[in-house]
Amino acid sequence: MIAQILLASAGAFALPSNITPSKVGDKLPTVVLEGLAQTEATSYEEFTGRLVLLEFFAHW
Amino acid sequence: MPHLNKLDEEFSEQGLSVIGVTSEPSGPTEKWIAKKKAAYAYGYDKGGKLKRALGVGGIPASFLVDPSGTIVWQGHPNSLSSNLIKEHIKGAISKPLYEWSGKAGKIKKNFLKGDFAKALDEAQKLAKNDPFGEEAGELLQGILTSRVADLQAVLEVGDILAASDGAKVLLKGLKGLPEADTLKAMLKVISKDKEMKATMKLQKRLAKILEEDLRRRKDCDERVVALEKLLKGHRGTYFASQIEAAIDATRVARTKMEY
Repeated sequence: MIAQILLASAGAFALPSNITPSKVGDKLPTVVLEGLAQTEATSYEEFTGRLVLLEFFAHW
Repeated sequence: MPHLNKLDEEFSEQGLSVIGVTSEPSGPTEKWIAKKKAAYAYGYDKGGKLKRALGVGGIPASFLVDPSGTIVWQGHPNSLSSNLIKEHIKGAISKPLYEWSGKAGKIKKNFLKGDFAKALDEAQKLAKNDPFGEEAGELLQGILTSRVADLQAVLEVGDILAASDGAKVLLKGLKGLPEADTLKAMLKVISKDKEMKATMKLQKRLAKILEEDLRRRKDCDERVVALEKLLKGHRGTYFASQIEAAIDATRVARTKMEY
């Protein structure tokens, strides 16, 4: 739990590159996604066991 | 978007799920999705919690997460190749959980509740007349094995509290499984080791300090003082590195506050 809180707050600084520092090799932190659309899934847990490509996007 | 639509279409049956994540409001997002003809799943990361946890500073940014939950690639979505997906798709479940219905629905229900024992039992029953039962059983066993290994790794680094709490939660759904014995043995080791017990007590105090909300600079200053006090006499330990990381994060949070 502590590790997660630390991760969440440590990520607060945005550095020049899109993702810093590299997270490759790390476990994905707990994911909560609301209002899932274009899928029958109602929570991220229902993607358990899949190879997942998470794409962060914004409408602008 | 066309690139991601294509990947989603090409690899979905083999085990890939493409999920768009945004922390923007739904109105403009829905319009944008329609305009871009993005066909894959998407959801809302309210308040940008996940984005921050992953250190995403600019958009677009994407992560490939393998079936066990480990991040195996990060970068611009357009630079993700089919070869990389092929490399990591092995072992991914072909039918996502949300499509498990009928008898497979029972497996899913128990798994989502954290009851591995019942879920594995249901999978075994299903396997008698449906090959999917075996696939589901293998997936569940793989997840369980990796969760136990994760807890052991967490204990090994020195996060006694996380290992102990995690083991207690996981144990609840392992009635009659061999993994239950592994976790019970782990908890016993913790309870008999004076040093681990002392560390866990300190980690509980740290968790308590970190629970408090940081609203103003004053909160940050108070937290840093409390953390530095906790740090005394523990320099050089894993516990110290946890505190040091917390101090750094608190200082960063402070720079973002106006008063």
